[in-house]
Amino acid sequence: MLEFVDVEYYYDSDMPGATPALRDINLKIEDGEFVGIIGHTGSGKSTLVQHMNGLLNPTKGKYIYDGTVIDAKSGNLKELRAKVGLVFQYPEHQLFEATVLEDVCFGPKNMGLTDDECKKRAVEALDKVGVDAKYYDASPFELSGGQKRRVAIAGVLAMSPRVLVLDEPTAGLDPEGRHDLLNMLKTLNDEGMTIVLVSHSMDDVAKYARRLVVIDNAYIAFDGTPTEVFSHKSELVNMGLNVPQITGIMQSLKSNGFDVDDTLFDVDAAAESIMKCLDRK
Amino acid sequence: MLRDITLGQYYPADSLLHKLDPRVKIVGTIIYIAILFVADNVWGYLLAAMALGVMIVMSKVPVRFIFKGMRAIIFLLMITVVFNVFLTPGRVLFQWKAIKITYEGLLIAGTMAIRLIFLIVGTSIMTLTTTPNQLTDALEALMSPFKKIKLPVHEVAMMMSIALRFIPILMEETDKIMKAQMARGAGFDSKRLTDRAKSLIPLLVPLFVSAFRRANDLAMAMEARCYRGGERTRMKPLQYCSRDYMSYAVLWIVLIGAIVIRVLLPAMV
Ligand SMILES: Nc1ncnc2c1ncn2[C@@H]1O[C@H](COP(=O)(O)OP(=O)(O)O)[C@@H](O)[C@H]1O
Ligand SMILES: [Mg+2]
Repeated sequence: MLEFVDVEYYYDSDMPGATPALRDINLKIEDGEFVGIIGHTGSGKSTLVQHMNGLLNPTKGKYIYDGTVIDAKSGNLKELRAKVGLVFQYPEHQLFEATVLEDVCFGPKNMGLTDDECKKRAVEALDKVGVDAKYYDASPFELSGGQKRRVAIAGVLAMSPRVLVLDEPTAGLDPEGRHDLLNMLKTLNDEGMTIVLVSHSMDDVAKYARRLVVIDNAYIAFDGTPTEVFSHKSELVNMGLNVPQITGIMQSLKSNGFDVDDTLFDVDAAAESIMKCLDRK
Repeated sequence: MLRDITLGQYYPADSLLHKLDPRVKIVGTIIYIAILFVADNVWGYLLAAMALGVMIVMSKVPVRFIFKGMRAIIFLLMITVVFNVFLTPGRVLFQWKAIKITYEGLLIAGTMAIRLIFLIVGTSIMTLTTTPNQLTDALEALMSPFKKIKLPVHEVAMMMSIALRFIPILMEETDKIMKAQMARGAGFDSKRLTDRAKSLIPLLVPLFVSAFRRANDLAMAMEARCYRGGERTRMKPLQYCSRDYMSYAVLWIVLIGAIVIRVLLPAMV
């Protein structure tokens, strides 16, 4: 379980007039959840998730993982980093080994596992993200963008984290790659892994996350189910966000006098709701 | 961790020094260095200190910010001072076994320290009040006589401005990659030197790859906009105005003053 208690974070706390990148963060994420974190660029999403594996420590307040307070004095954080896997934005930029397999082995190796165990984990992880065995000995730099991204994610998965945090993992992917990636996250979540998905696209997170946390200007603005969050359309628009396209259409239909359910964000459900409304007429 | 480096940093403010033509500032810095080396007695250093004080006040840059850059050279400063104090022969003031401190040693160490500090502060005032772009434009203009001997002045200036521009970008990139590898359990704080060198590979390889990628992108973007080197004209050509001529006059007067002080007044050593 991840828990933030009154967390505040400053990048330059010694500068006069510095503004916090995070403020008043109170957030609890239980095991097995699928949480979407949304916010405009610069709202503090990346700062927030870097607290989750101890890369950043709160300036004020506490961050607690499974009952242990994580701060600058926590010493060795390798264990925490194996439990909370963090995939950075554009993770393909961190590939460095000569072959795909070796690169994925880097995390397990740092955990002190034997070579055989590392390899086993790497193969498992590559399998999960859908990288074919024929690429294992290829140089990661020769792969296509989408494949690089998969390999990089496998590099984190190979540490068998209990919580997987991804910072805008779909940025720059084509619709198909995006769809594959999100489905993979869903599968991992069904197998019991906690997933925290950062995004600025409502359409991406709405379909998969069962809970949305909206960050605006260093604060948590909303925290609830997608349906709850999308009912605040005007506030979301003010934050530079939007409701998913489907929800937007349903909301306009409703405000134009059609009796449809304006909280939907799924194409099929929306179609059904519209059909029902038309039948009634 | 990398953010403390203020080398070549620009501090935006609305001051006379900021508005001054960058060529004047470069020439001024060179004259200031000359003054520091001309000085050989108390009055010479007082003149340099006064000039520096006036520049700091005029620049409107917070003093704390100016001296932040000093932290980087404190080590160098200490070595210089220690060597000079203990190793200069001369009139002995204090002796304990083989260690002796001489009057000349103290004097030389003191003047060296003052020169170094003044030098660093003086040049950082220039970089703090001049954007990297202005700086390279000015360098290009000042170096243009060398075009006659076939020196690719424009290209050199362009390379300098790109290099300067890339320093913060690469620092940010280093920070990001470091964090990303730490998320995979990498440590950058091993005690053994060989381990530490090895632990840098996961940082350096992606950093080089990214530097080449960025260089490639930039080259492409420049070509796409038909960049052909030195034959272009400028949107904002450098143009002297009256305050620049006045500044030149003041600079020369101070330099002549420093020379007069050296010639007329006795040296310290
Ligand atoms: N390394 C850093 N140093 C200083 N400020 C930073 C750094 N990273 C982010 N910030 C600032 O913190 C705020 C939040 O940034 P970030 O967490 O990256 O937002 P997001 O991921 O939501 O786009 C922004 O105002 C940004 O400028
Ligand atoms: Mg971000």
